[in-house]
Amino acid sequence: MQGGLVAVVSVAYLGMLFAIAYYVDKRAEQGRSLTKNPYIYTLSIAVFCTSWTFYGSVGLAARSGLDFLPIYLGPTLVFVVWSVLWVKIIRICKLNRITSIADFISSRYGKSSRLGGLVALIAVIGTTPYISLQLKSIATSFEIITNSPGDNSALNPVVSLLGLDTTFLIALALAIFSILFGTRHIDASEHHEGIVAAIAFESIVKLFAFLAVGFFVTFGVYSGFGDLFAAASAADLQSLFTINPAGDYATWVTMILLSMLAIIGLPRQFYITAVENSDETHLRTAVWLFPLYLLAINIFVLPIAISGRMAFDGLGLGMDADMFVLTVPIYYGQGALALLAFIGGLSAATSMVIVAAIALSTMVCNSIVVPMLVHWRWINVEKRRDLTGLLLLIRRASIIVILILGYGYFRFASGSYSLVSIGLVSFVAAAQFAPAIIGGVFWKGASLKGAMSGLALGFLVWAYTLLLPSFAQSGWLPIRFIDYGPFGLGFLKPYALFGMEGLDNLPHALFWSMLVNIGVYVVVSLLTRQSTIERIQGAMFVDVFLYTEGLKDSRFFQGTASIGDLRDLVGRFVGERRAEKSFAAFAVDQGVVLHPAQAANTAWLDKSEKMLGGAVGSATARVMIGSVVKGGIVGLDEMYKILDETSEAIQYSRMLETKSRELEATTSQLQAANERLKELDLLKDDFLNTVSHELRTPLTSIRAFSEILSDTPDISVEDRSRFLTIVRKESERLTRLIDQILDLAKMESGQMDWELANVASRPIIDEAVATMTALMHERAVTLRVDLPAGMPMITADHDQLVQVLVNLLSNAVKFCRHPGGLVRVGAKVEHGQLRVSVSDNGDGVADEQKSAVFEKFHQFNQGNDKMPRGTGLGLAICRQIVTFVGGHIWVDAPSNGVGACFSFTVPVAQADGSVGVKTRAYKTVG
Amino acid sequence: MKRSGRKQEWSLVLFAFGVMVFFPPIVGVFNRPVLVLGLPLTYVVMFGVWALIIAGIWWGARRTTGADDNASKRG
Repeated sequence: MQGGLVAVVSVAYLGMLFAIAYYVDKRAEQGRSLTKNPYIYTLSIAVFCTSWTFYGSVGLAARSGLDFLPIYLGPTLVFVVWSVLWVKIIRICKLNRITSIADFISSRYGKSSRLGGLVALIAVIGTTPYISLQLKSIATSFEIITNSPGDNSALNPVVSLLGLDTTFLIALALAIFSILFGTRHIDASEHHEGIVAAIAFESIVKLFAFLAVGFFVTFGVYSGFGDLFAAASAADLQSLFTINPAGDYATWVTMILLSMLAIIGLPRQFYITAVENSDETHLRTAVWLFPLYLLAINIFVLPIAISGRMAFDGLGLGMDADMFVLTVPIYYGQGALALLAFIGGLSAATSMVIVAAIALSTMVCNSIVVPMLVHWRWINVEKRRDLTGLLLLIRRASIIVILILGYGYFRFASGSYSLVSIGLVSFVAAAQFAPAIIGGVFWKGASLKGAMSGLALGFLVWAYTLLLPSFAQSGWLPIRFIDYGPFGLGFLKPYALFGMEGLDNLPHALFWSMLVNIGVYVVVSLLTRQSTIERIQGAMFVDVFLYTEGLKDSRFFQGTASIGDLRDLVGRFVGERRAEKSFAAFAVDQGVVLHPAQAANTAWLDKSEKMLGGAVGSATARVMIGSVVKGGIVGLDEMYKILDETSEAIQYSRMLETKSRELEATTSQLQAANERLKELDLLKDDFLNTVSHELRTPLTSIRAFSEILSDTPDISVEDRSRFLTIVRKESERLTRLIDQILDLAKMESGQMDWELANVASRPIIDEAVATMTALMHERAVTLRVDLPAGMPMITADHDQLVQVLVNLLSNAVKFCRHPGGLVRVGAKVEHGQLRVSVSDNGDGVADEQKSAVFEKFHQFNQGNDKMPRGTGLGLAICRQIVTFVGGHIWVDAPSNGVGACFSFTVPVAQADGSVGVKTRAYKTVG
Repeated sequence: MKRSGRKQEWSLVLFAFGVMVFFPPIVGVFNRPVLVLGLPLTYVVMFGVWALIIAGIWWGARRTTGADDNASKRG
C-alpha cells in the first residue's frame, strides 16, 4: 500500500480527533456539554485497551492460547466490587478536588508533598515503557502496511520527505494534541471534555476496526466459529484452545492479580475513571458496560490469532504474531480492511499516549515541579498573582519530556520485546500504587511513613527485577548482569532473586515487589504514629460516605443536624441521662414535642452549645457544634480523638508545669537550707576555734607560772605570792569563761531554765550596782545612778537581768581607763517598756562595730595589751537574755558624743500580774 | 447515591464467584483442548462466565426505585 495514502489517512484521522476535541470543548464552554453521559464516560474508560490489546493480545494468543484473558478478567472483577471501591475513590476525589493519583495518595497520607513527588516519579518512570509500547506498535504497523506485497518498499514518502522517522513525527503530533486540548487552561476540577470526547471516539474506532477484522476472519475467510475451530483442530492447533499450555497456573493467576492491581493503580486509568468523572451515577452504567466492552473486543482475539497461525505457519516467513490484525487482512488481499485495522491500532495507541501524557504532566507539574519551586522560593506565591501561565508552561514542557522519554525507551530498549511483555513491565510498576490506595481507603491506621517506604522499596524491587534487565537485554548493561547477577553474586540475579528459580520473570517480579511493598507498608504503618493531619485525612478517606451521606441519612450533607445528633454529642460529654433530661426539659420549655430525628433549629444549637461549653469550654463547644451542623470534613470521631489528644497534652503540660514549679520551690528550699547549714558549719568552726583559743590563753599562763614555781624552789616569797595570784586570777577567768560558754550554749539551744516572773525592777538595778561598787572604787570610776521614783514591775528573770546589768557595768568600767571615768545608770518607762541604759565616757564604739559587739567572742581593741581581756561573751549573753524576756539591746553614742551608751528594754508587767512566758520547774545555775 | 448493604454483599459474593472460577483449581477442570458444539471448551466457559458476571454487575447496578430508597432512609 502506498505510504503516502497511509500517511494522508493517518493525518486525516488525527485531524478528525482535533476537530472533535475542539468542537466539544467549544460546546462545553457554552455550557452545552456533550460528554456528560454514562456512555461517553464508559468509552473513555476503555482507554484501558491500548495497542497492547489491539495487537499484543493477538500475538500472545497466537503463542499461548487464552493467556491474554487475565488482563481483562482482572479489571472485570475489580468492577464487580465497584460499589465498595470505585464509588469511594470517586467520592473522595470529588470531595477533595483530587487531580491525579499522586494527589490522591499524598492527600490521603497527610498531604505530604514528598510522597506526591515519589508517586509522580514512579508513575513517569513506570509509564515510559508503556508509552514506548504504543510508539513501537505505531512504527511497526506503519512499516508493515506500507511494505505489504505489491508495494514498492523503497518509497516511503514520509520518511524521505522529512528525513525523520515516522514514529517521532507521530509522537510529536500526539504531544501537540495533548498540549492543545489537555493544557488549554487550568481548571480546578481538571475536566477536559474535548479530550474525553476524543478518547471516547477512539474507543469506538478501535472496537469497530477490531470487530471488522474479526468478522472478516470468522465469517469471510471461514464460515463461522465452528468452521474456524474445526480447521484449527485439523491443523493441530488445539493447544491454543486452552490456558497456558506450557504448564501450571502461576503466570495465569499472577496476571489476574496484576491486572486487578493495575486497573486501580494505572495513572491514566485513575485519571479517566476518577478525576474526569463528571457524575457519580455514570458509574452505574460504566461498571457493566466497560467489562462488556472488554469482552467484545476480546471475542475475536483467538479467531484472528488462529487464522494467522494457519495462514502463516506453512509459509515459514517468521511473521510477527503481534501484527496479525494487520497482516491477516493483507494476506487475504483486503487492503481497505488493513487500512481500517491500521487506523484502529493508531487510535488505540494514540488514546493511551494522550491520556497518559496529560495525566502524567498534571502530576509532574502539581506534585514535583511546583512543590520544588515553592520550596526553593523560585516562585514567590505572594508577589506574582497569576501563575496559570507558568503552570501551563510546566505542563506543556512535561508532556514533551514524557513523550521524549517514551520515544527514547522505544528507540533504545524495547526492540527485542513483544508488546505484551513491555506492557507488563509498566503494569507491575502501576501495581505498586495499589496497596497505598486500597489500604488508604479502607484502613485508617495506614501511615505516611508506611506508604512512603512501601512504595519506594516496591518500586526499587520493580526497577531491579524488570527495568534493569530490560536495559541489559538491550545491551545498555552487560548481559552477565542477568545470567550471573551483579558482580557475579548469584543470589542477586534479577530474574531469580535469592535463588527463587522456576518462576517467569513477571510473577517473580510481582511477588518480590508486592511482598516488599505490602509488607513494609503494613509493618511500618503499625510501628509509626500518625500525625494529626494524617489521622484526619485517613478518617476522611475511609469514612467518606459518612461525611457525604451520613451514617443514617444524608442530613449532614445538607448542612443541618438533628436534635438526636446533638443529644448524642452532648451526652458523650455530660452523660446520657443528663443530656436526655435537659433536652426533654428544654422541649417542654419550648412547648414542643421532642423528635430526635427533627432538624435542630438555632435554639437547640444554642442550648447544646451551652451544655457542651460547660463540659469542654466554649471555644471547643462551638467548633464541635459547628462540625455537626456543617457535616464538615472533620468527623465527630475524629473530633473526639483530637480533643482527647489535646486535652491529654494540656493535662500533661499542666502536670509538668506544676511538677516543675514544685521542683523549683523544693530546690530553692534545699538551697536555702544548704546555705544555712554551711553558715552554721562555719559558725561552729569559728566558735570552736575561738573557744579553744580563749581557753588556751589563761591555761597557758597558769601553766607557765606553775612551772616557774615548781622549777625554781629558791624563788622569793614576793614573787611566789605574785605568781600565785596570777594563777588564781587566771583560773577564775577560766572558770568564768567556761560558765559563760555553758550558759550561752544552753540559751542558744533553748535548754536554759528561766524563772520569768513579775519582779520589781529597782532591786535588780540596786543589786547589780552594789556588786560593782567595789570594782569601781578600785578603778577610780565615778558611778552615778539616776533612777526615777516609782520604778515599775517588770516581767523578767531576776538573776539573769542582774547578770545583764553586771556585764554592762563591768564593760563600762573596763573602758573607762582615763582619769575622771564616769559611768551612769539611768532608767525610764516608755511605750510600756522599761528602758535601762548604762553609759560611760570611755573609748566608745565605732559605728561599724555597733552590731558586731553583740557577737560571740567579739573583742574590743584587740591586740592592745594594756586592755584587760574579757571573755568576749558578755554582750552575747546579754543579748540572749534581753531577747528572751522580750526586749531589745543596742548601743549608741551618749548625747555628749563621748563614750558609749548601752541600753536595753524590758516589758513592763501587765496590770493583772499575769506572766507572759511559762517557766520551767527548775532553775539551774546560770 | 444510595447503596444498600444487601447489594454490597451480593457484589462481594459475585466477586468471590469470579475469583473461584477463574483461579485454580476450578479453572483446571474445564481447561481442556476439546471442542464442545464446535467451540473450544475453555473459550466457551471463560467467555460464558465472564458474560454472567457482567450480567450480575448490571443487575446489581440497576437504579432501584421505591423499596431500596425507603430502606436506606429507614436504615
